Amino acid sequence: MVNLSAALEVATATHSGMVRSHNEDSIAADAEIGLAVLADGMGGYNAGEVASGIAVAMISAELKKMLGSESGEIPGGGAERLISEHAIKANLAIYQAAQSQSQYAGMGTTLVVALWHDNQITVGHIGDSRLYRLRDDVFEQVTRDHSLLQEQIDSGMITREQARFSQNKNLVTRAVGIDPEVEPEVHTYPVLPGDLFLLCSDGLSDMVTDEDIQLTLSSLQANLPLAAEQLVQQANDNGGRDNISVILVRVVKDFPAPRAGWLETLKAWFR
Amino acid sequence: MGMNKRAFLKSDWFLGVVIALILAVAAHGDLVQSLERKAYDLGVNAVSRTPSDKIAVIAIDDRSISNIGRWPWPRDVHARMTDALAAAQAKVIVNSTFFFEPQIDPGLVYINKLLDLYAKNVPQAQPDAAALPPGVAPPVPDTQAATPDIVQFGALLREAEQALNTDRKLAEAFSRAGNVMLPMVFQALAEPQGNPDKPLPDYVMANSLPFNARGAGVQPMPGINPLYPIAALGGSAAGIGHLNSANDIDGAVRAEPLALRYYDKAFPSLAVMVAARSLNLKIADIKLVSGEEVQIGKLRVKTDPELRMYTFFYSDRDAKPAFAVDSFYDVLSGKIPAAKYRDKIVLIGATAAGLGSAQVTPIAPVTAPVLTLAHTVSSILGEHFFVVPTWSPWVERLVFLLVAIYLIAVLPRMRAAIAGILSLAIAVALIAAHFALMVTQLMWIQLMAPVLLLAAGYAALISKRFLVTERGKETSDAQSAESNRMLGIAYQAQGQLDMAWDMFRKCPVNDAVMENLYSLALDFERKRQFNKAESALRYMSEYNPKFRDLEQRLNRAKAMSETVMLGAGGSHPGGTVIMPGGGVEKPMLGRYQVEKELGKGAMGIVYLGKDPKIGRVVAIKTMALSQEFESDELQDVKERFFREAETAGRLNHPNIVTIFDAGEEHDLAYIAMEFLKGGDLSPYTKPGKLLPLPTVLSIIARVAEALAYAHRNNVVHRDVKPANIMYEPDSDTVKVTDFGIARITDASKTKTGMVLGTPSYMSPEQLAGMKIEGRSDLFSLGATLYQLCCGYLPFKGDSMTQLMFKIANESHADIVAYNPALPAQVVAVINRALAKQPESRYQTGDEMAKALRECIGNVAASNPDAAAINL
Repeated sequence: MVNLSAALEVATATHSGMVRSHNEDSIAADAEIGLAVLADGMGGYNAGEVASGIAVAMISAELKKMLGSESGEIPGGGAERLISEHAIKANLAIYQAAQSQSQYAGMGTTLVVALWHDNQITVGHIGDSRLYRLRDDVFEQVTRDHSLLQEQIDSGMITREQARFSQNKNLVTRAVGIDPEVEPEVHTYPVLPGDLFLLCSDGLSDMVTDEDIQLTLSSLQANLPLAAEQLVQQANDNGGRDNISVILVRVVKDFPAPRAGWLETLKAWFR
Repeated sequence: MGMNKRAFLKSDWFLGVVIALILAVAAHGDLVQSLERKAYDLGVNAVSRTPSDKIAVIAIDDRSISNIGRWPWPRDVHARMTDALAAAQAKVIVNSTFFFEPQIDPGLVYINKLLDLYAKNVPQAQPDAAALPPGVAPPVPDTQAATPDIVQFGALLREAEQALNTDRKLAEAFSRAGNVMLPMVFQALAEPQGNPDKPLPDYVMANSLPFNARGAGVQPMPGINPLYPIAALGGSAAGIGHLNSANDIDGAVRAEPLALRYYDKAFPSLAVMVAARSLNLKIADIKLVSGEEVQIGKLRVKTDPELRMYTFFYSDRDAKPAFAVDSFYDVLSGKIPAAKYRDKIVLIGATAAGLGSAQVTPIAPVTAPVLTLAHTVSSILGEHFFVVPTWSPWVERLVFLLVAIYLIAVLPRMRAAIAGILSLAIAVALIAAHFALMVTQLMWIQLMAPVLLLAAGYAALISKRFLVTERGKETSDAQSAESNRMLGIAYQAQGQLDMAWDMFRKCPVNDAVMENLYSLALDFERKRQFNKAESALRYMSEYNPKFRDLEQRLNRAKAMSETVMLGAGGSHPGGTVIMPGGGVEKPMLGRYQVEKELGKGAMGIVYLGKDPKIGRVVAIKTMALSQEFESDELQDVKERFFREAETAGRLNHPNIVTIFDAGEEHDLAYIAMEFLKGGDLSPYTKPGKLLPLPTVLSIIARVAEALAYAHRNNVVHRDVKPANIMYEPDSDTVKVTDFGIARITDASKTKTGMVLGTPSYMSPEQLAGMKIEGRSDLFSLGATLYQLCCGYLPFKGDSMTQLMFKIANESHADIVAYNPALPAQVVAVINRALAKQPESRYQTGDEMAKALRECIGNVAASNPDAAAINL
């Protein structure tokens, strides 16, 4: 297997915020296989936790099993298909759980999955949990929210400025586990050493402006755990109205996929 | 940023600082100091030096006390000993007994009074002899002026006075010996507050050295309120030295104050005085160099700033005591020749129990002061003392500081293994340095505090790390448990109950997991995997047996998993059995207790049930209607089901299975009917397995009669076939079962693949979907008879379509081809029953039964062996 723990530095933080009594976000990050998963659950009475928990647990467990094994590599069809398939699988599991057990009825979750491989990042997302990238002092949002607000912006109904004060920030147009079918949005981008990626739930992006996030990241990027804590702190200082979850991943060096040499090819023949 | 302000409290270096500070404070406390002393004592024991062979000890031991008498002894005993030692030319005689009070015999007082009186009346007589200076013999009295008796009287008085005045005797002995040293004691080792009560007598002051009280900052230890020998003895002694010991922090004697300060004078200790005397030096040859050393002639004794010498205590070697200790009595009685003590420094002192105060020394917990004195003198003479250099506190502080820095700055940065090895190495090095210095240099540097700091700091840091990783592990455990729970929920939702069970079992049980397990157990029950439901419930009850209705569920699951055939669950239609709630041990279906599963019917499981109220055993046929039918026609189907059941229930015939009850429980419709032993006729439908012909005919005849009865009551069976005819060979009982049930299944239009087996026994009109009547049942009965007679079906087709075509259009296969032995009469009955047109068949069951019974008669007639067949 390709161990990316030397190439990636990971820090995570999650907090229930200042208003919510429990944390419906779930996160998982594994530098070795280069995986980060973040989900923001919704639904009454613990159900949100269950939904986000199922999504993160299923995806990280399955991908770890697949990529963490000795010969683990991204199977045919590539990372995009891998993420897509597992997001759909998680969707089905959550949907069925919601259908079969009344206490989970109506639960769902947003999801953002990032997989680093071969000097690239493949990111899949459903809903309004985001992936940002800080590269050479340029901080930009990589994912585009599946939210009513984003669609309003895209269709030109409102401006970004107006969007910041919109009331319906939390209306997502896609979510995991609500319908039997879901369409994840998956893209792949090249990665450069020095890139800093941020996966976060809307508890951060609604509470802290992109400029402040960028400021924190660029000033604290030498100490990722501190940066993660600081982001959570900032969101809480601004009210902390929702659960806040942060995954920071910095690319320390490049990580090309190993090209199989003739010896390996030969060995593979006899395997 | 409050988080960061608190963060340093948890950091490793902060822990190091705290430990270092605590130990820095504790370093002067009992604990650390005792440890230092212990290490010192071990060091003392480790060093070996040869004690001075010039020193001999004469012990006033228990033996001497028992032989000479109770302590204190009359002082003439000491005088005799002194004389003996003086005669043996001992170098120095040290009597450590305190002669601080005159010893006055009660009789002496009167003798003195008598002497006074005698002296007044006898002019020549001398006055009080006791007033004479010691050592001066009283002059011989003039005997001219007195009568001989008076003179003799006077002599007797003087003799009595001589004998009883032991002090004078001892003083004379001391004077004769001229080398006796005596102790004095300062009652308190405290700084004098003012001036002395009275000046010390000259014979005491002669043993002091001038000392400048306003000298350097460090001075000898002070002493006040001295006790000293009485004038008679002190004046005749060669020297007096103090015998105060400086008790250490733990009460032990380790150091000897070589001189004590008394106002502006300093009194050397007895040991110093003895050492000087043994070197033929005078008091003036002793020099006190404050804060450094005591010089005795050329001998330089290094001391601590307060002029204390760390005495070397000689260990016993090869079980031989360091100093020869002889019993006082043995020497006095001549058992040990006094000549042995020639040129020796003889120390006389008490060792007997109860005499003097025993001291704690590095080599023994109980040491007589006289032995301590011996060690001290030998120490001085042999220059075998330990040295505490003036710079040692600085070194100690430096080492402490270095260790603290190591703890604060270095240790936290190292891996546990390296940190352990390095810390151990440093500790060993410190201890080794301590002992090496003591053994080779006789130098004492207190290094136990740094060692303790190292040990405590290391232990604290490691425990902290351990606790932190433990907590980290706990959180990661909790996280993985949570994700296992989520996976469990996901698997359960997907119907992978076993996987879900595995996942839930990995989670530590808490209330949330209990909810999940409960719902999983219900799912297992729904899937009729009662053993798994049971194990899940049992697992839950370990955590909380009172959870909801866990107890009842567990009992029921237990009962079910014990009685119900396993492995049958789930896959076949009607498998869903939802056992309704209730506190009974066995699952209930309506009013029946379900005892066990009997087998599988066309539409569902057949259970053995029991009506607990009247004790009737019943067979319960179940049908999962909701699974079989779409919901829009479910209601219709249910109504029809109960109508049919009711109709069939009205039938009361010896050859028809009695229906007791019908009902519905949780989407599961059931019919409770008479429980029959034996089985249906299916086993007898294969060639080679056939029943004897008369039996077959008899069975079919009775079925025909039963059908006739049903038809008269307007009930058509619709599904006559061997599987629906129950036969019990022992009692030769025949019962037709499943009246009307086929009708319900027929009604299903939407359910695909719902054709029940192959329609081999169906009449042409039934296949055509036309109205069914009694004669259709008789066709089916004909087909059954055909099969029971030859072991083959009357119609066969490779496919369903072909079969149906044949039934509708072709005549059945000639049975004689299969069974040539079949009587023509029976063949005729079969052929008539299988006629395509209902009108051509038997019109009633009775008619067919009659024909069959005739056959039986003829068969019996032609085959007498079969005559015994029960008609």
